[in-house]
Amino acid sequence: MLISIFSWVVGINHGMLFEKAFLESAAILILAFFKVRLVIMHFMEVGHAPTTLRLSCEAWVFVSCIGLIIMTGGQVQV
Amino acid sequence: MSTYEDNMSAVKETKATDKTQEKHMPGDEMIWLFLLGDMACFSLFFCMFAYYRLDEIELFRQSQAQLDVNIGSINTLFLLCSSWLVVMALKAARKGLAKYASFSMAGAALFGTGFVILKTLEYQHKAALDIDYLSNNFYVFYYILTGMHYFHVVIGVPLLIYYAVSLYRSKHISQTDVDNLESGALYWHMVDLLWIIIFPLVYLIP
Repeated sequence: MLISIFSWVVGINHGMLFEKAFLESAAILILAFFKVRLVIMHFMEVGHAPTTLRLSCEAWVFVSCIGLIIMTGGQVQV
Repeated sequence: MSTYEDNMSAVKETKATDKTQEKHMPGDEMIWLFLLGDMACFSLFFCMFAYYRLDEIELFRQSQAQLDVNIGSINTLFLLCSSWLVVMALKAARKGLAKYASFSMAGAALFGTGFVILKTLEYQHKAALDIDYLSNNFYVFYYILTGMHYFHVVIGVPLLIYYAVSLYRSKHISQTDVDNLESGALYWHMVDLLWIIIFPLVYLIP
């Protein structure tokens, strides 16, 4: 909840967190995926699930997060 | 000596039992197949959004400035509260507290309805400004991502209402009821987590 409110404030005041847009985008996305991981592990109870399921979810979070950070930063032209 | 060995084997057995008890598969394989497939599809759209954004960064920034960050943030909080209430409902159902579970589920449905109302208002506002899904590439993705998510919410809210009503009417909660509830809860949490990514990606990143 606190992370959501923090993202809200950062979203209204661009440049508040970092001057460079890439760093601010990366920070916002990392916070979002951190929240997503919390939802998956605790709300969806994957933290206590069999390893295959847990690893699949972790992989989805990791790949999506890294992929989006790289692509929104414009570092890679696919 | 034999007593020591007996004790050791008893300890080992207890540890093994603890480990099996710790591992719990929420829902069944089919619901996870559906959820992970859905999440993978959304990831593909997220990456496509980011890819097209690279080509037309200024257009995407100008269009993003027309979006209402406050409505998006309130919707994020609505879905988070709703998800948390679903967790409470599931915990209560496992303990056999049908009424408590029903009220929590009704609260979750209420927050879900709040999301639908705010999102509908946002779409109406965009329509009033003559903005539609063909206005530019940003709005193509805006309507695809938020529209698909909206569709998921519209399916999810009646599901939550159904659970709330059936829990209120039930006098005894069976294991099958809990299993069904788990699957519904997983779906609703997925709806929540997808919005947690859509919101910063479409509304926030500079």
